[in-house]
Amino acid sequence: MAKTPWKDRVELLKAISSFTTRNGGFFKQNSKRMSDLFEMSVYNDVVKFYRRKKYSIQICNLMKDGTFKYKLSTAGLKENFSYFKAEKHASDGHVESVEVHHNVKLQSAHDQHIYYTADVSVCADNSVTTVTQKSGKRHSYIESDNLITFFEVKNMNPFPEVLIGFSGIVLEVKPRFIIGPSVTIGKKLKHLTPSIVFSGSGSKHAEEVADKLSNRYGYNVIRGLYISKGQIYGLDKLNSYDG
Amino acid sequence: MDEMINALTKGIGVELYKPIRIAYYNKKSFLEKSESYKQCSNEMKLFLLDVLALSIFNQQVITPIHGARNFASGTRKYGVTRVRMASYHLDKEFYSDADRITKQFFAITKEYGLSVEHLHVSSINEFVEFWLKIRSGRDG
Repeated sequence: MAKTPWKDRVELLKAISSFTTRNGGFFKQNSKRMSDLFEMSVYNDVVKFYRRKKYSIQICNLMKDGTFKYKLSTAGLKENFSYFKAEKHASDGHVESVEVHHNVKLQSAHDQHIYYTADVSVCADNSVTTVTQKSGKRHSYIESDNLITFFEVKNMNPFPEVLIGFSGIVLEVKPRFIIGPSVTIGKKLKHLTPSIVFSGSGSKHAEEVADKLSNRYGYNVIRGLYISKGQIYGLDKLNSYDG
Repeated sequence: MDEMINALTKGIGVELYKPIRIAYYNKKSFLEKSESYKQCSNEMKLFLLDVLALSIFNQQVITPIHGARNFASGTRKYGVTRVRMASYHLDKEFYSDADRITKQFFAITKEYGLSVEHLHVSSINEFVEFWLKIRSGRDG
């Protein structure tokens, strides 16, 4: 039978002390990028969603030695970072193609000069635009009409304020989900609806808020990834739409 | 009382040390206000604080490390050998360390009867109630 901490606490503390002493260097070295590491898992799951839908996946801007140039901040041009392209040939010869990006600006659906940077975004092929701003600086963004879906990733537990705040983000960049139900939501459709992803799970109240908002607006509130070692399970059961 | 959080955060670097300890002491203050907690034996109080510390560490450190491993295993088939994050590289050495560390952590917690799905605190009341129920079941 497994030992229990209340019976053998001294041994558990010894094991944990030894664990952190042995791995302290690794933790120190990576301490600043924990949220980036968690986001990588969701980035991978979004690509996995298209792979499972029989899209062929390729990586754009991958370096010759196989280095994936990961975009860490909102700054930087699309051309300088790696991203995924997913393509599927339909039986009628039509090719469906999307790009999956990380940390790229999304243009507001209401004002062409308002941008929001999503952690992961999916857009139509070749639709990340790089332009020179009035300030002379160049920036890359996805035009509102070309945005298919996006994902906000939080290494925390869900709580009502952040969930309701997400409705505001959806209203800004994908208002069709909030204003007048003009989107048909289902399961196993072409694209996942906008989603907010949490590593933790919420209190009973937060879970209830998540379910109600998700039912009302059709977006996904994905939580509890600490159980699945950072992976999103049941992609087929999530809300999706045909774009 | 706080030996577990001390053991988990010793020598891990200030950028991790601070948020983990802030989260721990924040939740601990709520825990100490809980009526169910107040009625617990000292032994049970210690246990709850230990699980609280381990849960915070699991969510803030172990889950993200898994995330990087998921990306590596998912993209290997497309020819990705490493990931460049600004001047830092997630390479073979990183993934090997990440693999070892996550396995070690779960081996320790599993040996002491703590499965990954229970290494989490959604709300303080639900957390205390859950462990009191488990405890009374084992003792009963």
